[in-house]
Amino acid sequence: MSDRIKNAFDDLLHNMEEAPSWDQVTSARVSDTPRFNRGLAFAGGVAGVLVLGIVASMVFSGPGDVTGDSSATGAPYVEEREGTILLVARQTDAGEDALISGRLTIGVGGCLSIETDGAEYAAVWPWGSTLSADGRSISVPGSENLEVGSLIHAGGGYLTAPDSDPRLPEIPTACAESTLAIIAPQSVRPDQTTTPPTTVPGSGWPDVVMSGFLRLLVGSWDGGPGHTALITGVLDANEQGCIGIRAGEDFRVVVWPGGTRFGDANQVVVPGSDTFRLGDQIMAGGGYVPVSGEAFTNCGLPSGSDVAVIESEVRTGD
Amino acid sequence: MSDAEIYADVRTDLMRYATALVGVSDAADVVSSVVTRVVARPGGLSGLEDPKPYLMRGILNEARMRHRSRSRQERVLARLGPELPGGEHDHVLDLVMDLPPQQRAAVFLTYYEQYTAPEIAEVMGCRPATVRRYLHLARRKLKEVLDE
Repeated sequence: MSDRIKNAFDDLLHNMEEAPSWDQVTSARVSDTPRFNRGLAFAGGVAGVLVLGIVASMVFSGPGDVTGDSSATGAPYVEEREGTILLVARQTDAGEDALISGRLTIGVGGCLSIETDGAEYAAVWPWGSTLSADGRSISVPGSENLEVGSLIHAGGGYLTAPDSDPRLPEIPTACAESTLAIIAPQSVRPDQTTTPPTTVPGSGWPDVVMSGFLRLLVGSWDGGPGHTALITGVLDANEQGCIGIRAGEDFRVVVWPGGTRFGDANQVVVPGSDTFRLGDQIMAGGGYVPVSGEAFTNCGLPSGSDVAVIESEVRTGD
Repeated sequence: MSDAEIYADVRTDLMRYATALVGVSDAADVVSSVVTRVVARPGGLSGLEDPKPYLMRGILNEARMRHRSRSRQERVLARLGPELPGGEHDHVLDLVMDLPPQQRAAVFLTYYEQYTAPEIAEVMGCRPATVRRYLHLARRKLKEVLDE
């Protein structure tokens, strides 16, 4: 019994690396960078040699037959086309979670990334994703081709300096310096609001409903057909008191369905849906639209910023 | 003894302990981080009465910090599905590596390094009774392996 545990440790320690030398330890000490960065500095020294080898030997190692049995397990891989690097996670059927919205861009190090609120996140895409020959667009299973520069929405989450994991590909050093956006399978949606939602009228949109410091931006959707992009996150308010949703590091001001108001205890009361409190996880359909105007400026949104326009019932998220 | 000589004496033991606690890929970074912090203090390694257990406590603390970070990572990576199953030893090792760091340390020091409970208590900076508690909890979680 205990032998099996000892054997397991034997196997682990058989692959043990050599301890850092005294010179490596003391050279790390010379740095005045914060403690965590000193650790990274050392890791970078070791990893740098490894990554140089990885980058030098990085060849296209795509998914192979991605049209086969979708239940088969596919290993993570890295694809490179014309200097663009695509990071792809292990195959899985796991679903979406936090909202990731942003513009597809080629980030530092060439990694296909998502740019949102001025920050770039190297993205790890669902298994089966492939780059076009020119490296300027990506095909993601369950979605259409997405061009660099297009706006997308997806489920997933953010990781900072992740440990190596069998579900992740080898992350090139340049891309690993940013927080990674992990894109969940079957969750990628191109932005559907290249034209404003049908509910966006001209002047007077949206109404502003105040309750002390808090304010709701209320549109005119009244139950008809609407846009269906997923809007999900935790109900929150920004520094200007405008109610919106937070998903990870991303906060998006919401334009609520017509008739939405504050309850007695500052709950958000959505007609035909329910009552929600700050901190509730909510889900809805709708669209993302660039806006301008005083109501949005007062919410801290420069002209051209995107807001989430809800055009469906709102329900509590999972 | 100089700091360099003290480190030369214990570096392999520290590396083995760190590997057991955080895995192969992170062990060198953990050892480097811990030793760097201690060396930077007045007195350095040579100022410590017993450097090895002190450094091992530092490694355990670093492992616990990374375990918390790893837990946060796991919540995101769970969206990519469970980790792939490995072979038999991998399965045993996976179970051990899934233990909280204190329990993992107690298991490693008991089953691999053959330390006694008082010796482990000194390394972990706790009482022998606490070590036995960690081992009890770990054995209960590993029961499916130990009882086979």
